[in-house]
Amino acid sequence: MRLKNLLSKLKPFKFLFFILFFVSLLIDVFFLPRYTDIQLAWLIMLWVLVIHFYNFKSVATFKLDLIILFLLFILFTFFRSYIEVIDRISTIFYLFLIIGVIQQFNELRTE
Amino acid sequence: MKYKLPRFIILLIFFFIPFFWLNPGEMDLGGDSSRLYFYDPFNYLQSFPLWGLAPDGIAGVNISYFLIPFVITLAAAKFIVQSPYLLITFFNSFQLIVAFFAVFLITKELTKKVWKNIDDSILEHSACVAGIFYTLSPFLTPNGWDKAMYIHNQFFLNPLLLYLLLKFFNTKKFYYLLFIILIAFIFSPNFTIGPGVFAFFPFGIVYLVSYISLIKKQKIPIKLLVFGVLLFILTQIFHLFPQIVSLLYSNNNSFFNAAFTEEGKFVRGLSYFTSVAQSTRIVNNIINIPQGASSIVKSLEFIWFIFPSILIFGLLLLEKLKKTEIKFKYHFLLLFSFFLISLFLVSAKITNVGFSLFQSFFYIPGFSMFRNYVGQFSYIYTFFYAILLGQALLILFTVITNSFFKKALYLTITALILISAFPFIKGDMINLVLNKYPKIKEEVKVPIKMDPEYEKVLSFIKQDSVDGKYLTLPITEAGLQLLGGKEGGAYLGPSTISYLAGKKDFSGYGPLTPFSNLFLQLAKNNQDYALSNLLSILNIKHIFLNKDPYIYGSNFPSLPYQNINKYLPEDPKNYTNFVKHLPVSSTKQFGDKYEIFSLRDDYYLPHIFIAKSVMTSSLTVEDSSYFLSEYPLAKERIVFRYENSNREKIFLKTNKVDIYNRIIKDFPAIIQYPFAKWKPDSPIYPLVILKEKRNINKFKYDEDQYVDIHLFFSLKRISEIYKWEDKFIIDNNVEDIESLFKYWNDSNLINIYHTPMYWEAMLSRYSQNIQKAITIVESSHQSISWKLQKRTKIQEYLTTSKKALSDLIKYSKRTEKQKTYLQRHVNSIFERYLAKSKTSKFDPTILQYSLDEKMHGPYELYVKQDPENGVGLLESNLEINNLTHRPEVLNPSELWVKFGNINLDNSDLILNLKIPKKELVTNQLWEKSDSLEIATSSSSIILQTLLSDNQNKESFTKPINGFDGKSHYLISFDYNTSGDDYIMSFFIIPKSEKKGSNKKDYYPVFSLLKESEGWSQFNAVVKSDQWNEGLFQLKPFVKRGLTKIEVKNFSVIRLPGQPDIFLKSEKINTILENSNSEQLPKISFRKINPTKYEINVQNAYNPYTLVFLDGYDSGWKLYEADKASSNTQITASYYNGEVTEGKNTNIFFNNSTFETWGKKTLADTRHFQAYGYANAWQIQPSDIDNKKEYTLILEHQVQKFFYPVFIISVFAVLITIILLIRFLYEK
Repeated sequence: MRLKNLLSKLKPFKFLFFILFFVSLLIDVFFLPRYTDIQLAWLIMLWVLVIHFYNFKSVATFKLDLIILFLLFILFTFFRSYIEVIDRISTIFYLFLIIGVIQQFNELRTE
Repeated sequence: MKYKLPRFIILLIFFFIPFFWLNPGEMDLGGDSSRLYFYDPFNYLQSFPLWGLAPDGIAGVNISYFLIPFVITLAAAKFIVQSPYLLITFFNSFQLIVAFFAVFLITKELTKKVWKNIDDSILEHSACVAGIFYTLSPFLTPNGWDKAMYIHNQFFLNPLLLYLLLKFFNTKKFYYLLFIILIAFIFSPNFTIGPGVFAFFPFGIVYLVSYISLIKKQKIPIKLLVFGVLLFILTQIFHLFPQIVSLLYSNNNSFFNAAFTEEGKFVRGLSYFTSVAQSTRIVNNIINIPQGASSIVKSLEFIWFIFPSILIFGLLLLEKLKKTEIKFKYHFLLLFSFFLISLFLVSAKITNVGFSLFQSFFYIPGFSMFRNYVGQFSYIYTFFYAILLGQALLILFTVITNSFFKKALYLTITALILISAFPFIKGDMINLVLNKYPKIKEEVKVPIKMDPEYEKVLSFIKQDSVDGKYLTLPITEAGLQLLGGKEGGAYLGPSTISYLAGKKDFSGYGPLTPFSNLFLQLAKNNQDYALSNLLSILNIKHIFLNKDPYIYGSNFPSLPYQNINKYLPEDPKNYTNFVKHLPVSSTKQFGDKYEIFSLRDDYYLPHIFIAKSVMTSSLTVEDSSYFLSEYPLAKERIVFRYENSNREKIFLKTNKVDIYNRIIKDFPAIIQYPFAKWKPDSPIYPLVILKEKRNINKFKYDEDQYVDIHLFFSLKRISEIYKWEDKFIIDNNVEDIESLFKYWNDSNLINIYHTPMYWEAMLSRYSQNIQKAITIVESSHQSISWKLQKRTKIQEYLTTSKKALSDLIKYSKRTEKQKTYLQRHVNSIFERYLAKSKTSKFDPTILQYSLDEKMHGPYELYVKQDPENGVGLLESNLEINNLTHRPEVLNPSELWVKFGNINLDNSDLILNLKIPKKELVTNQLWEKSDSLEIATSSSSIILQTLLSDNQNKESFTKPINGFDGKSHYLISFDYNTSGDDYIMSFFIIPKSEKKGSNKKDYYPVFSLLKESEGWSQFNAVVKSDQWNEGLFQLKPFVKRGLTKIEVKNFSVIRLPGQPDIFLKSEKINTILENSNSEQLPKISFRKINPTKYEINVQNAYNPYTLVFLDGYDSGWKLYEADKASSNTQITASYYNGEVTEGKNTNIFFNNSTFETWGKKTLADTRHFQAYGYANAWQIQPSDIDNKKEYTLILEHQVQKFFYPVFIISVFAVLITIILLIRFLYEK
């Protein structure tokens, strides 16, 4: 219940979370000197909150994954020497695929 | 039916693709395990898979029974098609067709059952794309097609078997399982205990079971499945059982070592995995292109992003499908989940947690088989990828209504895959170049046409009636035979003489083990007599010389001869000369390329014989050069028995004491300090203390490790204080060293919690570790050489630690009073323990040895002369028990120099070889950088200079000449900088770049900052390599003002390699004189097959030693036969008929196969290793009830126990076939 209350209090700031997610994503990939799993957990948590606040379906996550894949494509094609960045984006791509598949399983269940 | 056209077109294309790979008549046979079974499956079968022993070298256990059904099938196919070229090409076509069709069918089967009203045309096209994607995936095409091994059959077997299993689950018809069992039996090599099976089938089967039970909600036919699994195990038991038995009973088995030992799990497993993981790119896996070298057109790699995009579009459009297709939707997500799992496995490093998880799997015994995880999981990954792609396209084709767009998408994807696979389609994976080195005469490719002359060679060798071994020249370093083809190309693979002609062959460095290094050394030093004796003890009867210039230098300047060329000739002419120096005669010439030589009878030791004399020795195989060069081993049938026991020995080995550890080196740094993770006042630290205690106690029963672990933790104390020195507290009330020692008590809990951050506690704990290490060494019953080594090691640790602690105190921010207090304790600790470690100081003129075996009697002393080790042996003395032994040189070029005699009296012995000192520096002159010489002739000089701001490049230099190639040198001198800082550097001048004294040609080796208040000693050890000139430099570090340094005793000496020393008992002459063949029995032996021999013994009145020149293995057993051999034909006679050889056969199975079952083994406890590798038995008359004439059977256990399981498997296969025929007939 406490969590629900907290979430309902945070809901008016949902756009901030949306922005924060993308800013965190960019900072994580391009600006942080070291990649850790805590940063990934932070990104996932933000995205889960965004899904919750906006009632996003799995389609949104897959679209996000398409964007990440496009980013990966650009880096792989033109900036291949940025090995660590490419690896990081690949990992994020993988994790968001998992989130999307879990979401879709849920949607099918309710369907 | 029209929509089915694409599948037929694709099948036709796949059938013809392999015809582009090889020209008619060509074969790609080479590789580590070779594909010789395509060339001559029948002879391959008879030479290798039928027997549990390696067909080459000294023949150790090598279980390859799994090849039997596969090679028999190939032999049958070869009988039909006749040509090996066609056999290879058809087999490749078969692989492509089956792989494509299996994936195609599985995609259709999976979909049809969950999507009732699917458009057949769409399904057909999607399944075709899935099949093409799997077959031509760039992830798989570079993975195994080149020099393909039999395990590569998994490429088509995996999808095929999963398809049949799916059909079984769907239809519950048992004959699908029977098909699986039969196919798995034929392709048994793919069902050994290896990564191929475990990386694919567990995931594949779990997926199918999930699909059936969760999506289709059907029951799994458990009873039928259990029966099928049982039948499967029985059909595979013929190779699994011998493998498991060898795994359980031999801890010297490579499989056992890889699965269960720490070295196998972590060094070969985890370390290898970690290094592979570093270069793994997840993105390559996502888009399904290979890691590293790419097989597809590099510039087209980005196009492969289309495939993950299609997968995501599939997910995006999934909801657009009708609600009635819920099962399909669930299945798609299930498939996607398995795809993600396989992507994790093939990437390994998705998130740090994931990577740690993967690493932790290596603690599971056997998981190290997945160390090369990308290659191993690539099959399951690509399989899921292909099926998922087919299903995603199905969604796309269903949702998209525009037919033009659908066709365009279908054709584009197919075209993309085909274009990317173009190098594969035209055969680049087969037409590899063997010699990709610079400056080669011409490219040599893998495909070859067999030279008809060489076929004559093989046929001639097959008919050789003598059971002797072969030596193939030229020797290669990998142990593979290099053989030129008829029209170019070359075979580089295991010996064709072994694998096709059935004769054990030494074709390179590997098969010559354990004599590989010795062979090369003897060949290099032209020790023809010793080399001939080596051929004798290896049972080599023939030398096959390949004189084809195509396989030598200009085409192969590097591998496979890279290191071998330093020892052996590099061209056919010199190889011919090399052979002619050996006691051989030419037996047969085949054209101008091939020649076979035979060893003279007086040098040939038959495969089985009775020894005339046995010499016990503690020398190792590597030290055998003395008796190889001294005694007529074959003629006199002298056998050497290497032993570690306390039995009386003729030859005694001395142990070299590593005196160079005693040099207190400034360069290079000798000890690595352990990492200190937890601060001693951390709340975790008591747990660290407990963990240390536990680790120490783990080695309680291994003195060697027990000493080392104490030394290790002594260094950890220093690491801790180095890291947190400023946080350490000084108690300041410890008076003497005794109180300091007792300061720390780790059994006291209060102590553990409150005192670790004290300087005194650290010093106390350090002292306790060192004290314990010394106590273990001094109270040990280990050999004197072990004690000497450990004392030296302790001293090395002490001197390094003393310097580290003194420097730490000196540069710390403590008060002078505190520094004095600490330094006093440090000095007293090291004074005490340096005295206790009892080693003499380093003296470059003394090389030390110990004799650990307590023997008695008169012995002769021999020292090995080797110009490369830099010891002037003829000017040296050997000092033992204050007695000096001088060299007794008859011939200055003698390999072994006698140093007189000694009487041993059952005590430990220290031998000091006093050698002349070789000094490179003849004067004490130094130069200033402005070329102003300030030399003095005195032994101690003062170098003094006044520096100003613009003169900070001022330095003192000393050129040193005369360094010899690849030797170690000690640079040492005493210095006093009177408190000033000086940079002491050493530079070298590479030979090729030396252009006068220009400083930019100098390359630094080390540069160290030094300072002293009194006289200190500087020691540095450098290794010369491609340079013979150097420069030592002393440079003041201060910027301005007057500075001086005093230097004396500057010296550069070569540190010589320690020559071998051994002792020879004077009893040897008596043994040789008394050896008399008249008292020995006569024997006649014959080979029944490579794992079984029959030996007729006559006139066995006395004990004798029977020698069998195959690799020692406790699996070789002797039995007494029930009846004498009926085969009395003699094909060869040795030693005036004392040893004869009967007609050798290669019988796999006959009515005598089980003749030794139920019989007791003979002389098992007296089975020993002869010559360091072979089998020998001391046989007493009582072993055979004092019979004088009898027949022995010598048989290897691995083969003996293979027969019953093989019969079980054959019965299981027959049952499978009968059931299958019945089911099909009923259908």
